[in-house]
Amino acid sequence: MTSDDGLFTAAELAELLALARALYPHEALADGPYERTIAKIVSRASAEPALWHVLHDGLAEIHDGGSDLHSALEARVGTPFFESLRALVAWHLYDDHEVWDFIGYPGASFDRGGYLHRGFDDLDWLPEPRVRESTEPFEAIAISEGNN
Amino acid sequence: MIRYERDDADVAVVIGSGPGGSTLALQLVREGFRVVMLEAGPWIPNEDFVNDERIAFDQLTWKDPRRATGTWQLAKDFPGSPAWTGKVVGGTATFWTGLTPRFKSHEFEAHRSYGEVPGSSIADWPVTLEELSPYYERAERAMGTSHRHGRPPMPANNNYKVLANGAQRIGYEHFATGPYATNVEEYDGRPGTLRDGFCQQGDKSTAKWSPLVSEIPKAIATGLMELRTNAQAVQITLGSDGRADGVVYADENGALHRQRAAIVAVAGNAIETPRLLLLSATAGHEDGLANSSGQVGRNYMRHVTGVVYGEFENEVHMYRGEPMAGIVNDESRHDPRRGFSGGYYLEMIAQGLPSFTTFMTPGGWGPEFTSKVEAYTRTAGLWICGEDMPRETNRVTLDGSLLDRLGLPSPSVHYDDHPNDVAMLDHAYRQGEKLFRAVGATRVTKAPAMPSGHNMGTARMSEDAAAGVVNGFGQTHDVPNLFVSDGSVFTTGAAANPTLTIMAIVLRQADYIVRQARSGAL
Repeated sequence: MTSDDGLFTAAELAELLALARALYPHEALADGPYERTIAKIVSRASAEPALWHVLHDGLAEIHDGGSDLHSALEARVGTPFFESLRALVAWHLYDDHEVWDFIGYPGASFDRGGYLHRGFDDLDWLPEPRVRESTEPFEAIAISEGNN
Repeated sequence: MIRYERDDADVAVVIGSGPGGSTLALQLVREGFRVVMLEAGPWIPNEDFVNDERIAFDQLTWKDPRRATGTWQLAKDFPGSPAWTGKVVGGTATFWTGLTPRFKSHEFEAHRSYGEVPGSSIADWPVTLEELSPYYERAERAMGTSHRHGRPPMPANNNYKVLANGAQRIGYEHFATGPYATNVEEYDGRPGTLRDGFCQQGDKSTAKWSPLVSEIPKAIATGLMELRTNAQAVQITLGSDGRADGVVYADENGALHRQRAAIVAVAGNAIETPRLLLLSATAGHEDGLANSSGQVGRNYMRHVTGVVYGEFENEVHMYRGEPMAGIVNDESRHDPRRGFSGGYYLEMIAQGLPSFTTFMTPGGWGPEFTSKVEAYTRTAGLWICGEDMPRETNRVTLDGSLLDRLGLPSPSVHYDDHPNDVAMLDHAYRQGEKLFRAVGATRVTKAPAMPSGHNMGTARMSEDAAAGVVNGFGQTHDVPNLFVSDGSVFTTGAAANPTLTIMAIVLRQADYIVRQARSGAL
């Protein structure tokens, strides 16, 4: 399936998806977030000629290498293609709530009463520390002898 | 709310509604002055804040173009974002973190305490800790900061338990959950915190102090202050007598208006304040208003900062509770045996997943990066905040090749790290790693600075009119009724988070303005 506007072929879309996974490999994460990430990038590229150009040229060129995707990407660090794609994949992938669930980040909490009664202090593998300030004197300037 | 006429020439115009501008405005209206406050951003009520880092960033941030140049890492990582400041009623304090340590006595006398530091413009302040102490106390009471004046300490959250235990195990003594300007319990008509973890996105509950929930509504309630929102100052005008007589500002459609003024106070944060002074260049002030010293925009400081993350076998969930209610003071002393002058704090920090993935390793990717992301819930964080060296060449200038929506030149922020900054950061990274290793961290990641929240020094205080922009009261040497009322006036940066000190010096400034005005000297 090509993108609706014909700007990306099915092969290119598949390649983008594979690149997104190679950039941010979360083995146990389903394809959904990666697909949504690429859909957002493609949609943006269809409105930004410069981005489409960079992606299109980069996709054409990356086929020539023949090495695995991680090495292919590594060899292109610093190129407009790599930098544009990396930044966009990171931005959208880690804003995807399925990824938040996968990592264990719950997001908004205010409407659930914050964490006041939901474990803000439930860490139990360390002793309870002092929360007040120490009453020991604080030496603001170290008077050093033989200081180098 | 009262409305003033634009021709009312007896008003004080305060530019900026952050901690500096709001504190000044409230003191002035309490003393019977008539005040017009101009805020470049909109009024966003607390209930409209959003528990989402990206949406909130978009809602609250000053996003007009800026440029970062120099050897600092930010110029590489975020070249269009040297700083993170607010464009919203309440200013940057709508998303500040809340720690309120005072500066130390020797930090007001940095030159005397540290001696010559080659390659720096280090100097002593024309103000002492003793003179500021009563104002510090008033500022702490205004905020209701924890651990002070009968306010209880913040309870420990998970992230703090890691920080404090690590601190103790490597021999530190001076750690606590504050002082921190968020209500543990009800204070000043505002509730105790729900520990919802979102304060850098605007605090929906109003438990965290900011001018939006305190100084601004109080000032409006006196009936003497008019707040104009979406009103961005673009020029301060001078009368033929050399006194400031008005402020030109653009409304949200870009249309210009002029408010006449008897007194003008600029509190736009240490990037926009010098920018406005430079934009206000006029006959007799060709290099910028109040810039006969040539110091406007220079000596920009932003603290020595970086983040250290510790990854553990067990769960931490750093995003729960107050993000920065934890501070270790031990390294904030001046101890040249460590190989640098000045000191630094280690402060707790928590981020949601979007920020964590943006800042943990800027530009990071690949399997090592994603393995750190997958350890997010088992990760604790600390933030380094230390004194950086002022340098004349670290400065805010106007960049005519980068224009804002009004066609005005944007601020370019140049910053080269001083060797003292580099030595301090290196020491702090090592101590941060030791701290987390001491409580079992299996992996430690050192992250570079994020766009600066602490911006200081670009209209520095000096009693010598040739060496600074303002005197010890923030009054410009060149224009008697023009004041600077924010962190731009800091002569040096000290190690502490700046907001409390901004408020203290502005409270002192307000007393001075009232005295001067009543004696006819102003």
